[in-house]
Amino acid sequence: MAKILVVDDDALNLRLAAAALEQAGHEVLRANGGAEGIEAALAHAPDLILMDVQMPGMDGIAALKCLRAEPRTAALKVVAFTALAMKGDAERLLAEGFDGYLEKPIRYKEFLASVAALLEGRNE
Amino acid sequence: MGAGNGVKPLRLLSSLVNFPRPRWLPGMALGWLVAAVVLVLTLASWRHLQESHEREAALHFESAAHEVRNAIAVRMATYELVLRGGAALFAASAAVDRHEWRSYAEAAQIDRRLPGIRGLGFGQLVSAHDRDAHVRAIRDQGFPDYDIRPGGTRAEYTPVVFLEPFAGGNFLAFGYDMFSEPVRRAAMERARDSGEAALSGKVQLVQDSGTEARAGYLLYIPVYRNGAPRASVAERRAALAGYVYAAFRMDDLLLAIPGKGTARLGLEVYDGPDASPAALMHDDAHHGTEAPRFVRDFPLEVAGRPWTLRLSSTPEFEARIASTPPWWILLGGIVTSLLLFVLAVTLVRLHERGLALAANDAELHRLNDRLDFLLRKTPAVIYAAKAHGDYGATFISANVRTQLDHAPEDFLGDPGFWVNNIHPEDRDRVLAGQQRLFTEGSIVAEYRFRHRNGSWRWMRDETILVRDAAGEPKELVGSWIDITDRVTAEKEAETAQRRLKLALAGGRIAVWDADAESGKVWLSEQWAGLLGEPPRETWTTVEALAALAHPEDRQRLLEAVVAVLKGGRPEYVEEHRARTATGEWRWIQSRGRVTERAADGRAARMSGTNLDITLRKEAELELERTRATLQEALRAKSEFMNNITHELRTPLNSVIGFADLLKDEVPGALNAKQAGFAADILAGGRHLLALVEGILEMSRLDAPGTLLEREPVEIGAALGERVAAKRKAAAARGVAVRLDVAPEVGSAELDPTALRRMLDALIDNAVKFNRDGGAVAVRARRAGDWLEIAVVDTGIGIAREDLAKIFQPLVQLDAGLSRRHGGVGMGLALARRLAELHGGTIEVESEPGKGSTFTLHLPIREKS
Repeated sequence: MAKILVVDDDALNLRLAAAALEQAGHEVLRANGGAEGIEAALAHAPDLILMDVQMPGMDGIAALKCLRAEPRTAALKVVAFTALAMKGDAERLLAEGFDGYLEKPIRYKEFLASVAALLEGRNE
Repeated sequence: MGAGNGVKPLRLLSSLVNFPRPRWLPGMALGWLVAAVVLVLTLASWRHLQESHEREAALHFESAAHEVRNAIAVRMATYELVLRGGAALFAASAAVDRHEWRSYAEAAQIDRRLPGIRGLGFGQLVSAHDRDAHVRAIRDQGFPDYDIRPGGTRAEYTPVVFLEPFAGGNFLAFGYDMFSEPVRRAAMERARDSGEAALSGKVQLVQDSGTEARAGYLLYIPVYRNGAPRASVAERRAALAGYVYAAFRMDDLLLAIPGKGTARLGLEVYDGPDASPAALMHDDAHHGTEAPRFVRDFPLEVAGRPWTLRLSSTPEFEARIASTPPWWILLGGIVTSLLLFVLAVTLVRLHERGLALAANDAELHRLNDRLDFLLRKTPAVIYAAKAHGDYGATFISANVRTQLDHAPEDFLGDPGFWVNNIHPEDRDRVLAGQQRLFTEGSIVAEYRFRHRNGSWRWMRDETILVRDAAGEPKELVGSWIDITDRVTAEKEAETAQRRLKLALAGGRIAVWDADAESGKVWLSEQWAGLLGEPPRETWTTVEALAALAHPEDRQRLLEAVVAVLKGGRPEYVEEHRARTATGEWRWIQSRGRVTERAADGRAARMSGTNLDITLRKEAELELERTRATLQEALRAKSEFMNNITHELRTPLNSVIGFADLLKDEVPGALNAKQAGFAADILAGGRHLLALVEGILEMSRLDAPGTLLEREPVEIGAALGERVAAKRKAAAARGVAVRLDVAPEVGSAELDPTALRRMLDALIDNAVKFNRDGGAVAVRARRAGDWLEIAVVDTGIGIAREDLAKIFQPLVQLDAGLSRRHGGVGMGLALARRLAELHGGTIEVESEPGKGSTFTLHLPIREKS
């Protein structure tokens, strides 16, 4: 299966996402916050990064920019993982350069199906 | 009086005839004696009658003449006042347009208040150089046929550009160059050079062309360019902008003079202090073979010019006042004396008593009646009074009753009546003036006198002192005219002028006028007042004026002025601060426009107003500060809500996510109870999340500047989609959802997301509070410019007292209901707020136990 990095400032959310992804057989890397996320991405070159958007310190969008600016991580697949639920939020995030969008709170089955679809895109 | 004097001799005769004849007197001799006595008495009576008639006729003429004079004076003063007002309009506004002139003429009520005036106009000075531009400009105002008439090239023109009423014959005068005609030109030059009003000689008015030719006159008042020096004749000539003028016909003017028509006095009007034939302006006097019996000259100042009015009696007037007793009275007296001689002889002879002279009595009564009639009908009260002591009246004409409702007996019976009824404020002045009678021979006094109903009437009292042969004061005679209307009119005019001044001062408006060439600016006295200095006119320069403006405002103000000077804008209105004498700042609203352009189109002169708007401005700034504070508070609240909901939602998302994992048995199989608990955690978590999001949503909608994203929405399709989406959940409770869209509904300009939220809230609500197996009907129709979407349920309904509450966020109507249905929540509150953002609303009707109808009203705003 795939190597997936989850970046979030909330420990509960990290554990929840990890529990769901590990259940599906993925290898899960956890990073607490944007800066840690970039380090982990550089170190492990994951197949997919789930990036929380609203984080203290370096937020998700800033972290994404850093990843895109760094040649070793520029091509990584980064998906916004957020509870911002207003109309237009998804479009705005895609415009920022995210490769996809996953909504919180997760619904287990739909969440895994979306992750699978995003991973499949890797092979295209 | 006449009757009394006339009847007396008849009584005497009668008593003579009835006198028992002494035996020593022979019958024939008695006859002669009676005849002689009667003849002497008749002649004496005739003489007396003649004198008294003569005196009263003179008084009557005097009174009628005064009346005409006063009426003409008032009328001409009114004309002049209206013209001066017109000139003031130009002075105040610098550029008067056709519409403003019309408004002014309408306000002046030419037709009603200024009879005789054919037109109230403005003739504009146009140089030969400007002629073509001028003609083009007027044509552009919508008069394609306009031209200066008569044609031909002259050094300058003064065409009539405004003339009110702008109709009928006055159209003929539009464009007429008054300066081309010598008589008008003479008056215009006089007005221009003197700066005063000037009256023309007799002319044929242009508006009368083709109709009956009648003498017309024009009264001119010069209008100079604002601020231009006009101390010398040369300066006045240079500063001339045109003339405000009135055209009138003397006939019309005089016809409208009350009393002139009926008094039948001849009138000659001379332009000058003397009645010299060369200065004759108007003449309708009777020039027969005999000179008029009464002639009176009055000096009258009209528009600053001395006039002389010569009023004379006409034969008709003389006949009407019958100032000479008819000859047949004398003849009758003589004949009577002869008859009496015969009668007396007969009577004596027959020793009978005679009683016959009723016929004469009747004649004299008739004469008396005529005099009475005249005295009653004329508005002037004629009186005679003692020339000493209390000046008590000895005679007063009966028309005092119609004028003041006092009876002649009031005056005759109470010597103090006159003095006591003079207004206390006027009494001392009048009595003091009375003394001048004995030095000057005649006086005129105007004072208030008490009408019988208690009101005060202004009276004009003209008195002449009559002296006897020895030169001693004998009696006073005079006329008394009610001039209340005139005085009231004068007072009104005064009040109006004072009001205008007050309005300028009280409104804190200063008028200004600037010369582009020299940069000099004149400001009316209010400007100094606005700056906290004693009010006086100010002469300053553009630079000095600009220096007073606040540095932050100066650039903007100057740019606005320059834009107008260059012709980019017709007028500027700028608000700026100006420094006062004490260094404070006042807010000024400055307004200005170019009032004169040079031949090459550059602005030569600019005029406008400066209005003190400090109070308004301070209030506005205060309001703006309050608004900004409020905006900031709302923004802060919105941000806080945003943060707090984020903080709430993050752990909640985990709770829901873990519950979902449990429910899906990700960590391992659950027993039935465990699965039930996991489902409860999930349901509770989702409900809580919905509330948190509702609160966030509400807070966002309340934040300032929330905007909708409107686009055309096909209503039928949008409703179909939402109803279809809700049918499954409704079916779970056995509730059927029906949709009924009227064919004319079409589309509307709406925010589609907002519409979806509103529909979801209403349908969810209708399903949630329905009974099992109930029904929901969604109906859409169009009502004029409004879209109406009704959602009807067959549920439990809402109590009347709860109807107002259901749109409040998080309200719980009833504890039991809440438990059963999970509370009302935020849905309806959000839906109502969204409807209001669209300019619409949601209404509800309900009958507890039967169901509710929620109706969404939205404006369609469809693009045509």
